[in-house]
Amino acid sequence: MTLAALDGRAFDQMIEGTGLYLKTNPFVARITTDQAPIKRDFKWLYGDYEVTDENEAADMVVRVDNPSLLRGLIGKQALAYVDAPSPFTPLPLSQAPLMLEMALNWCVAMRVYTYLTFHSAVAERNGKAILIPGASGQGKTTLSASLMLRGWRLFSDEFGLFDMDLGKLVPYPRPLSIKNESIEVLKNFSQAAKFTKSMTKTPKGTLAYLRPSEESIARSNEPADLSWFVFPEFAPDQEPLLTRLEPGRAMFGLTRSSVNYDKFGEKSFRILADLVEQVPAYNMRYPDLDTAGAMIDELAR
Amino acid sequence: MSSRVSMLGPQNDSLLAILRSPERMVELTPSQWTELMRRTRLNGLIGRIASYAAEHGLIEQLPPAVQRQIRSVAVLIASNHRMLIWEMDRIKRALIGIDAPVVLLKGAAYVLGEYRLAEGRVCSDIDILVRREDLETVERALHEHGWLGGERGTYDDRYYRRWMHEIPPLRHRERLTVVDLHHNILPLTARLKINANAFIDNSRPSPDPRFSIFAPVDLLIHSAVHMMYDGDLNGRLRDLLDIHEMLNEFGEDRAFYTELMSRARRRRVQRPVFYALYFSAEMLGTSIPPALWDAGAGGRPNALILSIMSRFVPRALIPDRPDRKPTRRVRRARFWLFVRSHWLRMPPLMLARHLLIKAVMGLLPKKTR
Repeated sequence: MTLAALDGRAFDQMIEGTGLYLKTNPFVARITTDQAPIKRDFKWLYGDYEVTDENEAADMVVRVDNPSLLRGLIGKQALAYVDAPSPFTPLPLSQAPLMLEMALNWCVAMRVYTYLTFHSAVAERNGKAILIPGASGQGKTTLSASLMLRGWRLFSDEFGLFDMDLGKLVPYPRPLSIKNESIEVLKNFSQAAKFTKSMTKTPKGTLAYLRPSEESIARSNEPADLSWFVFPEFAPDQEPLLTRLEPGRAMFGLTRSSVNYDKFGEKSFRILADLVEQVPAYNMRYPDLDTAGAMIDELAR
Repeated sequence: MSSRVSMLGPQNDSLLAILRSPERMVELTPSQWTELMRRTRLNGLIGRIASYAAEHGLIEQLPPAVQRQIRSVAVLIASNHRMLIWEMDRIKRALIGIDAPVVLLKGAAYVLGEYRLAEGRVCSDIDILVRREDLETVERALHEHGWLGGERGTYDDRYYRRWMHEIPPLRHRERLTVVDLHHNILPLTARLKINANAFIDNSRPSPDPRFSIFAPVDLLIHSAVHMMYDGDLNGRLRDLLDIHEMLNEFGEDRAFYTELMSRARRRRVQRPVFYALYFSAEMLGTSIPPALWDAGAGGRPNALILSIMSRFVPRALIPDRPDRKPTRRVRRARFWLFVRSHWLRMPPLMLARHLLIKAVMGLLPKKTR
C-alpha cells in the first residue's frame, strides 16, 4: 500500500507510535516523530512510497523529537536520533523536515558500503543513466530536478549508488531539497513541480522539498547502465561549453566526489579505473537550466 | 547458563543466545533483527555478528536489510584491518635505526598474528608496548614522524606520565590515527603490580620481524587484566567476547589451560584470569575445563565476593539498548564496579588527592588548568 492510501489515523498512529516503515528503495526506513511540521507534509511528500511493517527489518531507524522539555517553553526544537546520542545539532521546530532528511542522508553516508557511493545526482532515460557529481552549490540537485520535470527518471539528487557487482547504478529517489533561488527557477520551469512550503533561515538558506515524480518511485527497483559522467559548472555569464574529460581527470574528480571510495581497497580502484575508460566524462559549463537541458539532450541522443 | 545470568531479561537472553549459538540467528524475526542490529552497532558488537553470520553460512537466510548491513560492516572491518597493516608499516618506518623490542598489543596483535579472533573486530588505535628504558627513544621517534601528543606539563599530562602504564595517546597529524605507547599493562599505582619485562621477554616473533606479540597465554592474561582491573565494564560485552573467542581458539591446544594457570600464578594475576574465565563460561558458554573454577581453583575469590561480582558484572556488561536508559539495577551495578575500579587503580590517599585536584580543576576556567 502506498503512503497516500493510508488513512490519516493509521498514519498518525504509526508515525507517533512504533514507527512508520517506509520502503525507500533500496532501503527500508523506520521513522518516528510527533513533530507537527513533519507530519503535516510527510504523507504528501512521500505519498507514492510503499508502506511496510515490522515484518520487514529496517536498514535505518530515525526518530525526530524535541530534545529538551525545558526549551519547549521558550522555542521548540527538532533533533534527530538514530540509535543513541544524537550526532546532530538541534534545529528550530519549523525545520524538523530538514532534520529528518539530514538524518536519513547521514545513515546512507555513514553506514552503506554495499554500493560505491557518490555525492551526485543521477537521472535515467531510455535505460541510460547520467551521473552528475558535485558538492553542494554546483547545481546537481537543481539540474536533476529539471531533468526529472522533463520526463527523466530520477534516481537521486544526492547519492549516486553504484552496485559494483551488478555493474549498474541503483535508484534511491527521495524528495529533492531545493534551495534559495532554485525554488523559484524550478517553479517557473515547470507547472508540474510540486513543492512543500519553504523553510526559511535553515543552515542551507531557504529550502523547500520537491516531490519526486510518480514514475521515479514506481520504478525505483530498476537499475540502469551508467552511461555518462557530467561535472556541472554553473556560469550564468559565460558561454555554454561541453568539454570531454580524459579518464585520468574523470577518475580524480570521481574519487573526490565519492563518499566511500577509500573503504574498498583495490576493488573500488580497479572498478572505477575501468569505468572511466568505458564511460565518457564531461565538464558542462551552463548559463541556465534550459541550456543545460539542451546540452544533456544532445549528449544523450 | 546460571540462574543469575538468566535473570537479565528476555532481550538480553536473546542477545546472549545468539552470541553463544550463532546458528540460532535464523530464529530471529525481522523486528528482532532491527533491534539487534541497532543495539550491536551501538556497542561494538555488530562486527562479530557479521562475522558469525558469514562463518556459519547464514547471510543469505537473513532479511534483506540485515544482509545489507552485514555486508557493509564486513567492508568496514576489512578496511580497518587494511589500514592497521599500513599503520604498522609506518610505525616500523619511524623506528628504523632503533633496536628497542616492540610488542604489539590487543587488536593490532590479533590482526598481525592472523588469529581467528581478529575477525569481526574493529581496532581503532594501535597499542604497543616497550621497555621503560626505551620509552623516551620510541616516543621521540614517533613524534618526529608525525605522531603528536597533547600539551606537555599540564596536570593531566604529568599525572598520566608518572602513574599510568601508557603515555597519553599520540595522534598522527595527517592520518589522525592513534598510537598508545605502553610501558606496562596496568597503571603503576594499581594494587596489582605487573612485571612488564616478564611479558616482553615471553613474547614471540610475529609474521613481521620488527614486531613481537604476546604468547597466547599472555594475550589472554592481558585481556583479562585489562577488562577486570583497568577501567569500566559498562556495556563492554565485546571485551568478554574477545576473551571467549581467545579461549575457543587457544583452548584447542590441550596444554593451553595448564600453561595459563601456571603463568597466572607466577605472574600473580590469578584473580582477573579467574573472573575472565568464569564470566566467559557463565555468559557466553565457553567450554572450559571446570576444574579451573572449582572451589580449590587458583584465583577464585571467597563466596561473598564471588556472589557480589556475579550479580554485578553481568548487569554491567550487558550492552545498552537504543532508546532506553539503563535500568536502575544496571546503573547500580555499574556504580559499584566503578568504585571498585578506582580502588584497584590507586591507593586511597592518592585517590583522594587526585579526586580533589580534579574537582577543583573542574571549577576553574579552562585556561588555568
